[in-house]
Amino acid sequence: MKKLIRTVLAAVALSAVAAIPAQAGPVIDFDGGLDTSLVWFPPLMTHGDALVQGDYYLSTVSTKAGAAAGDLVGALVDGSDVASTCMSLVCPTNNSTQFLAMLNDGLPFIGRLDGAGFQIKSVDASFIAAAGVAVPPLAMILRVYGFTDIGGVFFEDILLPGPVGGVLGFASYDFSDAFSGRSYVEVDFYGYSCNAAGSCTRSADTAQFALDNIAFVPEPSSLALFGLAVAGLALARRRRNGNA
Amino acid sequence: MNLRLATLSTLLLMGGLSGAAMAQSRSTYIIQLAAEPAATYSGNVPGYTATQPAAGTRFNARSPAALAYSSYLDSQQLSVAALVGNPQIVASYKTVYNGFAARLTAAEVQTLRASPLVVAVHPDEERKLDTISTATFLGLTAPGGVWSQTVGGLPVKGEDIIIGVIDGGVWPESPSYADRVSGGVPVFSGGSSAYGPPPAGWFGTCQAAEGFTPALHCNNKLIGAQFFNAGFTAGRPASGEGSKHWTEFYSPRDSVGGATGHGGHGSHTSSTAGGNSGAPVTLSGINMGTASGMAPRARIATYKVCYTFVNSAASDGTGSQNTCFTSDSVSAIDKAVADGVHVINYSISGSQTSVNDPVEQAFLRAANAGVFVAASAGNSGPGVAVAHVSPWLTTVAASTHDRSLSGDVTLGNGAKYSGASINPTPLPATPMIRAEDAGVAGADATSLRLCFNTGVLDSSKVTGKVVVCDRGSNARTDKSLAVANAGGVGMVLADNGAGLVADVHSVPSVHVNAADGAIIKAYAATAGSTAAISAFYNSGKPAPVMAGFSSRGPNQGDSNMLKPDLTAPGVDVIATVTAALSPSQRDAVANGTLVPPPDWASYQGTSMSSPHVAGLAALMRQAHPTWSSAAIKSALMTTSVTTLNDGLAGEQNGLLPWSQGAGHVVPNKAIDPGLVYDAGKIDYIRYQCKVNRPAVVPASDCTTYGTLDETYNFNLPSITVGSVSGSVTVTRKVTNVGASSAVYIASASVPGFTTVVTPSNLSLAPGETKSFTVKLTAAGAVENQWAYGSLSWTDGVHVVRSPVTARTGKSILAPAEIKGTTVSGTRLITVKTGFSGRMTANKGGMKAVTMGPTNALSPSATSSATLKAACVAGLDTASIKVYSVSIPSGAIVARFELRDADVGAVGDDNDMGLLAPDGKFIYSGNDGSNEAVQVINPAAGGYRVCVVAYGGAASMTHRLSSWVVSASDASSSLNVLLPGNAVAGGTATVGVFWSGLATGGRYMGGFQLKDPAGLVQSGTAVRVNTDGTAPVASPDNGMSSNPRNK
Repeated sequence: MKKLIRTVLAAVALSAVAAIPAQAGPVIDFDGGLDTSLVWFPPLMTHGDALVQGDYYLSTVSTKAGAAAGDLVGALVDGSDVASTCMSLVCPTNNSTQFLAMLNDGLPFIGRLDGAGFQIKSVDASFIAAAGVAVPPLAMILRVYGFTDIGGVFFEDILLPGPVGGVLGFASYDFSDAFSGRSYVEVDFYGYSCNAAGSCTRSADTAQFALDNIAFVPEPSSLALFGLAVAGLALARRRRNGNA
Repeated sequence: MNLRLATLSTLLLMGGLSGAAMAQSRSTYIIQLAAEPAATYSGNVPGYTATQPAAGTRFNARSPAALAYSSYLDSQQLSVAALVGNPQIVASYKTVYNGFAARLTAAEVQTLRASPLVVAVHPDEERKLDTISTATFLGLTAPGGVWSQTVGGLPVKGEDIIIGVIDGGVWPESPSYADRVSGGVPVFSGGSSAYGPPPAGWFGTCQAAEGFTPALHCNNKLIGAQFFNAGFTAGRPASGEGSKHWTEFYSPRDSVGGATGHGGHGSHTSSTAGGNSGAPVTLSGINMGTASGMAPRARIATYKVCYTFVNSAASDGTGSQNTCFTSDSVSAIDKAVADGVHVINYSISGSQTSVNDPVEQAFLRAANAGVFVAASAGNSGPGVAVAHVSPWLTTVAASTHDRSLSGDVTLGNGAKYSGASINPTPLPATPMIRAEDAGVAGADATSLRLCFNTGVLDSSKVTGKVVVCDRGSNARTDKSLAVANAGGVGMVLADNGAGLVADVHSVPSVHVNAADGAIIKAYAATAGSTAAISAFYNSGKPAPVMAGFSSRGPNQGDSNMLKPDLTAPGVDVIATVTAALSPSQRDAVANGTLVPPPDWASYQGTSMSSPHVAGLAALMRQAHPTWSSAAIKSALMTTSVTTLNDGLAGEQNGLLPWSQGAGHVVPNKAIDPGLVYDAGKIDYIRYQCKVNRPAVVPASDCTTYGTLDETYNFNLPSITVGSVSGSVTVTRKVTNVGASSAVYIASASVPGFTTVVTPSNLSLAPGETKSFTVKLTAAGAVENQWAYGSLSWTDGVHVVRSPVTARTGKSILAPAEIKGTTVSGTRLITVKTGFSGRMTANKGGMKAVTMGPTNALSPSATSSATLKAACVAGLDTASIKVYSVSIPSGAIVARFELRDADVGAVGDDNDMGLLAPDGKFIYSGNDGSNEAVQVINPAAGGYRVCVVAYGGAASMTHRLSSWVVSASDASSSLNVLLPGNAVAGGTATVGVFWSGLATGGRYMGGFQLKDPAGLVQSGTAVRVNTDGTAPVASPDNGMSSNPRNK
């Protein structure tokens, strides 16, 4: 994994930018309109559960050998009540809306209900730490895979920092133009938690992270309507990235 | 909880008001606001500069910045009060606590709790108050002892150090508080001045009020005397039951003592801490030599917060009761810190479980402002009931000292027996008689044997003789009075196993042990028997031994933190008290026409040991003016010595740190400890972010300074780990406070563990701080049993010793309890596992409370030991109700509760205990009736829950709340989801979700986690109260300083 880190640091690490204002495209924000009828014990997420919001689904699975129905892989967390819900976990505290916490090396993957391709644009993410466990400054590599309809696989890495002063917070991450420019039929989020030596794994139940505001590039039909706005946003984003 | 509320309710009922009117009744609440108080304000409010003191300096309440910020806090408090229509404000706090106390309805409390400016709302609660040769015993007077050392040319006796005593007031006529000296004796007039003006930085005052005139009663020794009674007087009737007792003064003056009063405690504690040396002591007319406080040159400032009220049902038969309201204590702490005291003594009971108590929070800010705080551990021993569990104060247990006042009884056959006595007048050989043989016709044999003062002794048989009486039932002094009334001239008191006590008796008396008593009685029954009784002498005795009444640990609020911290003398401590006065004499004192005499008495309690430590801290503060209170505490702890064996069984044994903390203070070594384990504001913030996050103000401090990872890593001079799963690594840092560079070498051992200190030696320049770790790895330790060892650093000159206490846990470590207040809720918890593989679970609940029937008992002040004995016997008594409970195999959690809400009269004090089939007794003895015992994974079998009416109304009723949850109670209202696998030595997340509960209920559920072999390795209770309309009082300590006199 050291090799992975070098690659990441050299080339494709995404920089966190300030929260992006409301944008004109589909988004999974785990708030209004979220359908939990395919979740066994909401708000807890188990192996094989699925959330539906708009045209998109997000399914949660365990990738462990012997994974079984009912295994805990995540939870929907009310951001305004993090202190109660994350009783002995260190969850991000700067998001007052509902978000998805992925736990115990759980894997979330997303797609469209109609199986059509989509382009992913940005995501808010944060590491989640177990209480009482030391976390290095680089806490996790969140490797985001995109699968195209003809079998192509592409990925981009997001580096999630450890707690600062014992506190974690969401940051917003834009995917590169190359990554977000492709159309995928499925996008997976593989978390690898890192130790102080820079070795990163997803087999010790410590790959835990929070996701929110998974934003997609508007579809062609709506692109015309919002083209002007998107152009403005892209300009703004470049400026922010340039300053970072 | 407050008697005054009972009275208010009664009046309303008598007036025929409706239940709705009852619901609007007001009581006192303490409202804590979000902004920092002035003593710890760091400057984050625009326009107001920081007012917190720099390290090593004291808070200055008179600085322009502090005055400006205080007025800002005033305006904030007023705007919050305006949210509920400006209620009656009882007190306002700005120095060590930002908030105010007010009379509020339950609805108003809810409104305030919803305000973002409000951090917490606490109901005002009632608490209770919990030395001649002790200075010598502690070595202060020895050649080379602390008192013979000098700083800046002045002896280290507390020079220019101000001790603030928050207690029951002061009796200013005692020579302990005089500021002049004549022939080595402190005097109020004549002689020469012994003290200069109050030290720089003193801003306190003397208040004129009933029986207290500043010009007469304050001087350059007693530099401050104030009183705080807004909480006590709020809602209190002007006359009758619950009203101020005639012995009381609404002034800085300690209330009247004697048989009917409760005064003396405040004078006793303040004179023990800082009373003058050379004060002549007369105990009930007997010259006892001279007395001295621990810091005899310190200045004293008293802050009165405890008052006596009429309670015809008081369990001690005095018809009155003394109480201390937390709202008044917070006012006093606030003022004491603003006044500029260096040290505070607090010999008053406190929370056994929470650092979020308003008093503890006020002491946090006091510590941050550079003030050392000593507090009493409590007198509920030998049960587990240690109070004042916060790391920022020093919690003091009580032990004996070496004074033994003895007398001899010499029989006509030449045999001589020694016992406890302070008889001043020798009695020559005199005919003697057994009480059993001295009765009037038809006298009750038991009353006779015990020498009841009810006319059972026949004067024709007793006159001119020494009578042998048995101890028990009536007061010891009542027996000698009975002998005197019947014409007897002496008494031999035969003990009943409770231990010897030297009392002031009506006739020359000796208190002998039970075995000697039996021999003496056999001889007394022979013809021509005689006995001679000697005058008393000090025979000395082995000491220190822990007092049975001293509350034991472990710390019930945090099993990773040792409490008590240390022990000091608290048995048979002689110090100044208040005089016994008649009502007319009391009135004459109140209006200034009578100057009452000083008086002295021997008290015992952790109330007496705490001021010893406060006084020693004053010496340390003088010797080391820049040391923090944590450094002083560390020096006192790491140089302490172990007590002697008190012979108690199991975890109650006095040799264990649960009893003595780090050990018994040795001030002559503490003054030069070598190393200290220091801590300060940032450490306290990080600790609170871990255990009490909602109380951290500003909340951003948890971001700025971070959260302590594990509470066993708080930098205390003791190491305690409640659950070692495999191994644990504890971090500490030490600072060299010696004058030169030194190399310290570590040695550490804990039975059943391998103990590795890294690095094993530390080279430290003066003032340098270095960190180290202590890794404990289980190696044969018995699971779930505490092991006791120690860590020492030595440079060949100093030995810096810390107790190390550790317990191995099961192979799954999960929280013991999950709490909630909502009808549905989610909790994500981290569990630690000692194996790899898939875990499974049992679950049960949620289950509503089962309420027992209403049962009535008569009050009787009963110790935890007596309650246990009654519980073992299993029979109801007039004051004890025994409930038998059968717990099935596979039970997950059992909980039994009493609540103030379920007792007959507000203010009733019920206590309870749970007797397990293996004989283990779990005790809950708080003030009031909010009591609970809870057992996780209880063994199957017959249990007994025993409720005792400790004190209150003549007929006290209660209802027992109970829950027994097992896997057969599983339902969809509680779900527990587990990770797919676990990793040895790793962590994983477990999800807990409850739903479908009704509002207005109290529910209990629980779950057990099992290893891959299916063995239960953890248990977690899930407790959800959906009836939370008002803040739930935290459990508090039941503590009394009343000497057990039977």
